[in-house]
Amino acid sequence: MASCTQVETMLQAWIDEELGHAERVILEQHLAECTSCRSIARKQQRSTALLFETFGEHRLRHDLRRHIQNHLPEMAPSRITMKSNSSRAKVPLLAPALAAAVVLMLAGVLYVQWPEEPSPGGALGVVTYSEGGPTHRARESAEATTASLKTYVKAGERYETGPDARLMLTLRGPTRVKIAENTSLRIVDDREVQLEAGRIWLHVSPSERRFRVDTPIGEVDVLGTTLDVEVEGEQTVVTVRKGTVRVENGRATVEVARDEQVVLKNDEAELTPRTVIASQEMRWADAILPEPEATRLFEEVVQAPETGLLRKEQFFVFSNPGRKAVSSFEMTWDPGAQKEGHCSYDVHVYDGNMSELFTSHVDGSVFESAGKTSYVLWVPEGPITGVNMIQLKVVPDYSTGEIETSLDVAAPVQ
Amino acid sequence: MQGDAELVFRCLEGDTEAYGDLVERYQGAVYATAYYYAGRYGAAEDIAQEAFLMAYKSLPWLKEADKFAPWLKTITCRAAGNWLRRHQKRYSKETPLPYKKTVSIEDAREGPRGSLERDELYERVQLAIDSLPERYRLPVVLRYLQELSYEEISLFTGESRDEIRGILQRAGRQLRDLLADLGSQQGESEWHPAHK
Repeated sequence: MASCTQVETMLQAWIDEELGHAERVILEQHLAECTSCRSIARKQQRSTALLFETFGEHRLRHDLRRHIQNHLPEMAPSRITMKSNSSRAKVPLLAPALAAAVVLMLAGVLYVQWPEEPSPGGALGVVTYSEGGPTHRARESAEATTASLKTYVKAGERYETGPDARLMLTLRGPTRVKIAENTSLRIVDDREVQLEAGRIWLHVSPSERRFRVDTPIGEVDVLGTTLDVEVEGEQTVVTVRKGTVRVENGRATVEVARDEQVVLKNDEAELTPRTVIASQEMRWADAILPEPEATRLFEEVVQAPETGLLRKEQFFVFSNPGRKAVSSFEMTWDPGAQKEGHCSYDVHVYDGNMSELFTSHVDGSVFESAGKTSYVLWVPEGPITGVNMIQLKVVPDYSTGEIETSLDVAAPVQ
Repeated sequence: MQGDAELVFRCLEGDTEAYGDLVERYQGAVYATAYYYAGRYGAAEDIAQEAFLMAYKSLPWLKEADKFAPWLKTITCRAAGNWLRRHQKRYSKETPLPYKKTVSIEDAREGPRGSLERDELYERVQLAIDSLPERYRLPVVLRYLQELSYEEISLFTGESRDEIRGILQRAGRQLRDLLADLGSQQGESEWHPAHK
């Protein structure tokens, strides 16, 4: 008979129905005879069941296949048409003037860029989900136009959804606003909206600045939380999923906490929250998910200028038809205002077939020396020879800081 | 069923259906990995989508097409890391980045006994998982969140099936002790061996 210790090593696999036949027979024979292992097995079965049960409601709820397939960019026809996502990626960097001195032919701008949009001038956010033809208008008198995906959100605009339309706006912060059917919402600024009718779900980014939702009956003040606000005829219903919000109706004020709901009516002098399961109340919002492309646009155009993050690898391709020796790479950058907190970079160098030639590391402190705007990266163990193409990938490593540097790289020939 | 390598080659030829097949095959694993890093912020699905798009765009760089799954795992971790960094300021008080926090077993054992509200139960379970050695945690989340088989976990993490079995056994034992006071406390029931 198997020992108790042996049995212990099989227990979880047995519970998970991952044991082979032979082991299973051994284990079950042992359990039939050993009270102590039986009791342990029961405990472990219970904790396993508890884990499945606890995680059950967090399981993936949507099939991602269609959604992702519908948003795939065109596949690059060859290996080298990859991306650089530095801020300069938008400007083609063909540099004929340098051709004599360097082998640099194709600069790091082979990219897959998100669709270009007109300049966002003062955009507060981006439409990150749009379904059923919601509309927006700049002013009362202005004509309503369709609020399609990736439309920039401006202060003062009113968004309206009809009976079949739904919408999501991602505002600076980021604050996410999901808008249900038959809703009219005016964007006062990135921290204030007016809900005139219908229903919204909000995930408000924490900030010193209060976020306010005005409704015909009462106001909701938020400092960073998830909530749902519904204007329903003569009343406003506020449900809180996370954090705490303050709600007032002109006569009374009340704090509404997590998993609480309050119904505001005009004439009520006292507001009493009741307990609800907020996630269930807000289920309608689960189906509204931001489109990745629109989110990316938001992050790069609306949000990124504030945070100053580029957060992507930069990629450079050098054509070297004469197969000349290359013993170093020169990295240059524009001087930045920040003295500290620069991220480091891992540098990967490949030949034309993407076989790695070497890897190296550039410490963040390199970018911090006053007046210094270039760095020579030597090829370890002698020059690279006999290759007609060199590809270089620079990957940020945030262990030394968050500030990224937009680099140019040249490969001088020997 | 086509192998990953074949699907990857078809993707490189521009066949988006092939990528759809890969998404279908790995969405559970990618989602669970995203969840492991950022689940508490409700961003797992966004991160999973981002990871699949990042992977698609990086496919030409994948060196060994039959290693698609562990490569996808790395990309998912990076997508989650990016997401966390972007939200670092907001959440910096909650989680030391880029890894999840580690708590002591004593912390994980604490907490109210008896019947618990759902959220509290969830917190306790999370705390118990956070107290596991880091290497155990992702396999545990892959197993319990998306019910992946040992084989699927092994394929995605790049560890052998035996290693995964060992990890889940040791984790299971630790979780059994940590969560002993929770769950249904029905008395001794009749013994019914489970069968496939």
